[in-house]
Amino acid sequence: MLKKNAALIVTISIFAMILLGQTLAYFAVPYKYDASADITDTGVGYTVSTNSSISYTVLAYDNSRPVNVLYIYYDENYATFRITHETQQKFILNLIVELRIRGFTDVNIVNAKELSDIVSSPYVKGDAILITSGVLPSTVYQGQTNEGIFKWVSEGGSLYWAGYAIGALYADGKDIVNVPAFQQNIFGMPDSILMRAAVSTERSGEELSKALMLSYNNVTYGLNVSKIPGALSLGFEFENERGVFSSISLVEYGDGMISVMGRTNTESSTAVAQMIATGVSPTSSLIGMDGGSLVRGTDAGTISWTDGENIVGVQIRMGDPTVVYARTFFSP
Amino acid sequence: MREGNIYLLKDSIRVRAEEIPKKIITFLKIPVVIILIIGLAIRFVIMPTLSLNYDVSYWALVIQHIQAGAGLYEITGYWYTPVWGYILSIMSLFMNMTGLTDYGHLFDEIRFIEGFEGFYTATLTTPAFNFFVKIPAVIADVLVGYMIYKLVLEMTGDKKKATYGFALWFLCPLVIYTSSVHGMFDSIYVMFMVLSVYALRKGHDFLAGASLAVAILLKVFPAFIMFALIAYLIKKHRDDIKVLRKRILTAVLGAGLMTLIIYIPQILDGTVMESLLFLTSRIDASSLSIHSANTWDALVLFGRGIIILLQPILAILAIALIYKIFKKSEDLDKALFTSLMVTTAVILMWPASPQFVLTALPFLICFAAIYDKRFVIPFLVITIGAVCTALNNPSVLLSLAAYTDILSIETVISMMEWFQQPLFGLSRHFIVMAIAMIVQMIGFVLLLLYWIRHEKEVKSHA
Repeated sequence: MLKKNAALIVTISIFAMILLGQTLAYFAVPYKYDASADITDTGVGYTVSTNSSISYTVLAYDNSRPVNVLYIYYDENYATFRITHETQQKFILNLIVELRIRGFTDVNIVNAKELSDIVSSPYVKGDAILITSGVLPSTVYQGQTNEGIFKWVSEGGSLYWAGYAIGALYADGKDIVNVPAFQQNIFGMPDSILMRAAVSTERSGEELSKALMLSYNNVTYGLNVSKIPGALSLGFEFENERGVFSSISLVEYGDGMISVMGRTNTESSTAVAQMIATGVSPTSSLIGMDGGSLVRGTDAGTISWTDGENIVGVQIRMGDPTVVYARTFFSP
Repeated sequence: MREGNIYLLKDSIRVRAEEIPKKIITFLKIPVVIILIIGLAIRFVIMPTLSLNYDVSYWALVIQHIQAGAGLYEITGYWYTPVWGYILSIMSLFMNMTGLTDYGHLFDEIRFIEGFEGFYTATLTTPAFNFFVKIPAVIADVLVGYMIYKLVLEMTGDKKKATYGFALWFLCPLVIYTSSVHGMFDSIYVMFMVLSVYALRKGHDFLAGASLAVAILLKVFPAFIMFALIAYLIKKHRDDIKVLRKRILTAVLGAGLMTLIIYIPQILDGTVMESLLFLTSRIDASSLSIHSANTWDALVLFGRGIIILLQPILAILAIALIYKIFKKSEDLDKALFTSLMVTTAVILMWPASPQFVLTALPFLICFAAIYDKRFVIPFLVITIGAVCTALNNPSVLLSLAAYTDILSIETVISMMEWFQQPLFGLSRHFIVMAIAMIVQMIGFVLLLLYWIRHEKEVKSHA
């Protein structure tokens, strides 16, 4: 009887396995992770735990600028450049999930009017804005840097940018307006942005780049990190006669900072999420790192430092080559 | 009396225990078992060591998205319908249970290979991950082989022929490559496709429909065999419309219900369209653009677009051939297997990726084993072409180089660079690929010519 129906039994078993896979992927995800950190002036004591099998990394860096609230600009009534609203929407949805994996959930989608309200109000510490449309709306930028969004940044805000060249254009409704000498206006020099397509395979020499597991290497519209004073390169670098350009860079701007990540695609959404969740700044540097593997249990460890300045950030991350869980802790 | 019974029982157990080694030896002497052991041994050696990281590293990404609680489509990265994702979800649990923590890493020092002509990634998966992620495809290899064995045995009553069919499948280098090197799930859809034929012949119509639905959800090619299965039912029950209607409706119900069950999560979270990206991304306007970075990219994009758009024409051609075959033949099983072989050959008569070629092999093997051994010639030509296309890629050695001392990454890179160098204005990679694919296509043409000759011979004998 069993032999006669072997094929039937095998078939039903295979279907059952597929449905079990479905349940484990959607309805009863069995994987649990947890992490905690106790940061002092000279080090951090951390614990990681999971009911799964996974590798983990703990990294500490100084001079961080923690982001408390993220405002993502999205407005279908305003033009985008080299990205459709549909792609922008997909990018933002990806990013929100990537941020959620990293424990960052305070995300608000704002339109052109709401963005204007934010930048015209006094800067609130921990606020950050992300632009993925490749072009700023006229409500916050019309070519001048002494007002609107750039004024807000110079007062302490953090601006994360992924898309076309920052400040090159602004959208007046559905119309796009070119801004002359925008590189000079924003960064005080021409050739501060790579205005051509380039992909690099040379990672920045910064230890923090590899430690943050940043793999985004499209340098198109990246910043000239060799010329802009105080710029930090955390991505991959492309060099030509005008300087060294980076796929992921941070620059100080008045009391605030700007982070530029060129084009918007899946890889850059991971990089953007990592930059926002970790709150690294143009003056951040790696001050300690640890890691290991964990099979259904808890691990604890410490990282000590002597040269940690200002706010120290500690990210505990699980999974490689893809992050499945991460949490970032900041010193008081 | 009771004591006597106990003695008898002990005696019986002892005798049976003594028989076990003999039985094992006898079992191991069965030719199909020997082939199974040889085929598995080859696979177990290859699975961890050789790996097409371009695809296998994506499976690591998908598994880690599942582990992150992001399902299959919440984050961009998984391009196929959900069935393979669910199988990866099972493998994720399995890997966790075995304590596997290291899936792979991005190797900065070889990032430049991502710019080479072809499909390459610097994210290299570990041998342990390679081994585990390929297990479902290897199981599918075994089950397809088993079904070929059973089908041939049932139709010929000849164990030698059945074993021959099993060997052709299970020791075929292309089958071994697809499951154990490429790590692609083509063996799995082939398994469901053959299962649907097997189940339909047995009268398990609901399972046949469900199996075919899963096969089509994995990759689109099995959709074409649907016409042959319908023709088989029509011819079999042409005198009893009620039975015919019942059987077709049962199969449709099986297919519909299975599709619905599989798609429940995507219906609930609104990601059904994302699950069809494998198809839709290949049909959009950009697929037909020839303004790409190089000849390779242009041909790949253009080819994919054209092939997808050709599917309706191929479907009409397949239906016409099936109609002709069933109209002529009174031998239902022969008509079925001829239709399946010819249909799958017709839909693959373009420079198909090697793993797609698997679709045609089970039916070609069955036909060769049951009706005409000479069909092994087109089988060999097709598989030689496809295997050469597949092995035109030294990057399969990268995992081995990165995680063991057997060979260095530099050696593999220099091999890859050799293939990238130009010859007559085209890269060696492109030239080898083109020649191999032409051989593969000649194999399919040869198959059709053999079929025409076979039909003529049958007619003249009649």
